Amino acid sequence: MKIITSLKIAIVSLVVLVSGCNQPTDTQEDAAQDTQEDEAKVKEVLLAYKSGIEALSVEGLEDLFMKDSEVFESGGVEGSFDHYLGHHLAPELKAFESFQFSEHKVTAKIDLPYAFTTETYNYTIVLASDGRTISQKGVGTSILKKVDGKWKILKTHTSARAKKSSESGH
Amino acid sequence: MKIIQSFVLVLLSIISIQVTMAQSDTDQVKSVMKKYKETLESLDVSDSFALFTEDSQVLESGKIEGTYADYIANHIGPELGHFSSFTFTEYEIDVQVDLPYAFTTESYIYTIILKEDGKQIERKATATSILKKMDENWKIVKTHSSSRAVKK
Repeated sequence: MKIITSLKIAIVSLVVLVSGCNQPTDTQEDAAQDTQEDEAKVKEVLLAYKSGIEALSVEGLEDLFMKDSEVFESGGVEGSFDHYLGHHLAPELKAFESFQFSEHKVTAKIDLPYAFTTETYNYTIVLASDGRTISQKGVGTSILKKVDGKWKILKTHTSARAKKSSESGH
Repeated sequence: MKIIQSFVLVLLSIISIQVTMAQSDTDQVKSVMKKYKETLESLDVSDSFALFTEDSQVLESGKIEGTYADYIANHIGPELGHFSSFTFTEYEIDVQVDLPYAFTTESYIYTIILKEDGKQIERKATATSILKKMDENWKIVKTHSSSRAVKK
């Protein structure tokens, strides 16, 4: 009888132990929560950049990038973000009446200290000179790095293509 | 004095070993990217799947192509059948290694000659890739290429 009781206790203990192993521990839950928070912060950085472009304002955009960042746009090597800002983005935004992103989607994979993102979106530019509209379908891949608790863009590559007539919405 | 000399020697040895290892990883990464380009130039991609992770992501000029297997099946595979040649020139690569990752930037000009009419297409291009070292092998996790007309 004692043997059966001992066996029952052993089986119950084993079941409890195994089921305990399958339950996420506090540490695992904390790590998952940290990853979700990092994902949200990474997305905030990318959205802040898009918001700046839509506002046709470059104010504060440098803070979103590392000093030694690298920017690539449709086959071109643009240098650091500071260089891109001075030689490409800032002059270009002055030529636009509006710049709108739509259908923006972003996925982020966190592997500290890095985050790897892929964005898809459509953008529509209206030129200030003649009101001409340019609509393109774009993708952006970026590497962000967490430095001193802040996520910054280390490398970003965007490219675009003409929207198919079925995607133009016209 | 001897203790300081020994300490400096040990420190220099450690730094030297680390530099050698980093160079070795850089060379391995360059080798993977070179092999991929050579695969495209050969117009035969059948042996190239091992260069990419199974869950890789390929992006080309404004479009997500899916995994490398998707890209082969739906885009570059059928496309290569229409080329009589595909060559890369003025090729440059920069590699930054931060284990287990490596980040690469390639710039090059590619020239395609079409089978059908011999028409030549020449573009200036950039590719940024993320590689990961897995079981001592570097594999491409993500690659994004884009191009523009060549300035004459």
